[in-house]
Amino acid sequence: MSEPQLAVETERLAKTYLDRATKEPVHALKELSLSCRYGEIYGLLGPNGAGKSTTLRILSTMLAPSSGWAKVDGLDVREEPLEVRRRIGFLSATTGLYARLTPRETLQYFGALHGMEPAALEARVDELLDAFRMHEFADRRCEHLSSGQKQRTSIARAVLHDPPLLILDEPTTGLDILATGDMIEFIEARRDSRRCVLFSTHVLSEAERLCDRIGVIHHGRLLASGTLAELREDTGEEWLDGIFKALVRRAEAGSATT
Amino acid sequence: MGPGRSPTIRLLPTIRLVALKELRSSLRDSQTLLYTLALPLLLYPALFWVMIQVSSLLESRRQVREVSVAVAYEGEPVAARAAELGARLERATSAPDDGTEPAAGRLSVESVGSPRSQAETNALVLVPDGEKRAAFDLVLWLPNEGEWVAVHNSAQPNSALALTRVETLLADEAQRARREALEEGESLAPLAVERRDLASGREQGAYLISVMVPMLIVLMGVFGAFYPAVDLTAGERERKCEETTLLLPVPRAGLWLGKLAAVAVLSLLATALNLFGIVFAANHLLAMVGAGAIEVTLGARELLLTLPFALVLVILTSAVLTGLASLTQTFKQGQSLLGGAQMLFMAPALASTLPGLELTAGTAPTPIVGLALALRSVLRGGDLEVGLLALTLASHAVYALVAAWIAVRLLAGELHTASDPSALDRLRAAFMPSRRP
Repeated sequence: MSEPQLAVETERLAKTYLDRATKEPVHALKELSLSCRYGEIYGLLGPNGAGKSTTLRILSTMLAPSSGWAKVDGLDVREEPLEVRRRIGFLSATTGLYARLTPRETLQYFGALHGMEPAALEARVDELLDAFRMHEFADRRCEHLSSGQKQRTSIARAVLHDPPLLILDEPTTGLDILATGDMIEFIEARRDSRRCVLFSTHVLSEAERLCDRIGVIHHGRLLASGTLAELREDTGEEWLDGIFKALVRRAEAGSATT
Repeated sequence: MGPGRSPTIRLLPTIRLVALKELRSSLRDSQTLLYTLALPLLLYPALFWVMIQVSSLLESRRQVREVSVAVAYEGEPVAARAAELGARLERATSAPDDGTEPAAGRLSVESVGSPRSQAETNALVLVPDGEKRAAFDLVLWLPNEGEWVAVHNSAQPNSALALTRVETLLADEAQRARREALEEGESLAPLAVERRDLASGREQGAYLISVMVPMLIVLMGVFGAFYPAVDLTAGERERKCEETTLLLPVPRAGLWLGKLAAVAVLSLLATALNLFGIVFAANHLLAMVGAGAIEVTLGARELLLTLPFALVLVILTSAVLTGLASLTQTFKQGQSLLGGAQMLFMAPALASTLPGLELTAGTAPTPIVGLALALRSVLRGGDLEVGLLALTLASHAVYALVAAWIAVRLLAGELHTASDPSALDRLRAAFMPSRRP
């Protein structure tokens, strides 16, 4: 069996919710098709409420798509959610740490549930404690850690099983300058290890600095996808803020004429 | 590129790992320790101790409280009798020389002669406007013929106390008069009845336990599951760990069954500690109130027979409370919902204490009522109706399994991110996936 070439592939992916207040359907995602390759950092760029988080949660099997399909490492997220979860590391502001466990216990717990053998797990935990400079606080409860220490623990938790795909939902939100720098270095290191990183952001400078390819998403639709150079050529704009505005204008003009 | 496929779905190891993690986490939480462990163990001993102290204090204050009694009579034919009665009452209630309180309580007795009317007598006991007390707390009125009258005011605490004391003294007086009359006749001896109880102290204790413990076991099962059920569902959601849990590469049913197992273990622990607390406190209480001959113990047989019923109970309570708590978004919402939901267990547990209600083929499968009645039957000892007990256990085991299945469906409902979902939205998502937009 040949290995899949794409880390992520979606086709006409859609998600619709019912708004509790208005009782009207909300189309969080509309026919989104994208693909991400191994060894690539792909950034989903868009304002709040654009559909970035919904996309990432469907890919990580936390939400079921209303229509369309999505594959991770060649596996359909709806049909093989367990196998998909074994292949991803997910990190967001809402993937909190278990407050009453220590970082070491957290890693041991996740490792055990990933089916890692005890000896291999201990070795991996030690390796991550070294790599993320966590020894000093490894046995302190997470509720007593600083935000930087929590961040390092969360990253270690997400890469514990060395997943081929790392999904990061606005990974630098709420971080201070030092922690943001650490996060950016970490993401770059993942590209070097030939893994795929798919992350969402609304910070333009992050996307410009890190991404091999960028998908611009607005009102649940993928407006464009490509390298920064391709997007510049497509829109005639130099910087991402201009590119984003041009794509939105074009989409709105298109929807006005249809 | 990715790892190989996992060979099997590891349900049981998942349940064990998740339950151990949740137990470790819960037992590190001071509120869980307080509500699930410390309170069940200390609640009854502390309550009984306070009850005894308060009761002793109130009794001693009541003992030293002096009440006033007037002796009145209708006419000359009973004047001498009234005077003699007044003197007797005074003697019986005067303080002994050793400084202790009189056994019958303090009573100041005064003769008020022969009032002109019944209204004048009544006025002595009624509190006049602007006053705190009446002239007398009670008037003992002796008519020329017929029964004596104790004129009192039951709305006044001192008057009620005076009535109790006077009635006790008059009963003693009547007994003395009867004895004297019978002795003069020489043909009759006073009738005396001796009590002979065939129940041993242990049997009396077993009866006492069978009356009060089943209801308390049910309540403690609920109490023990309450806090962990909220903490592991709405609490986790509030601490933003729900997504962290949903990302685990294991069957979701294993995750939720692991949580249910942790809640059930904590509930069982609370129930066991509570039982220990009750037995300890009951023995202590009985010794303090002078009923030390009653022996409150739980034998190995009773404990072994109680265990399967307690186990089914904690699974049922844990599943219902955890399932309900999973419908809420925050700890506060969870506590509010479960606060009302507790009545699902408390009401039938209370109903099981109704006099005359016994374990029958009809009551055995009645949720919670049957369980409490079965526990009563087991704790009372003696011959057991095995068929009815088995029916109770089987029916409640089915309820527990159904509740656990529903709870897992509720917990496994899709993550909601678009809007703040109501409990009804979550119910729909769990049982009517087709209704999801």
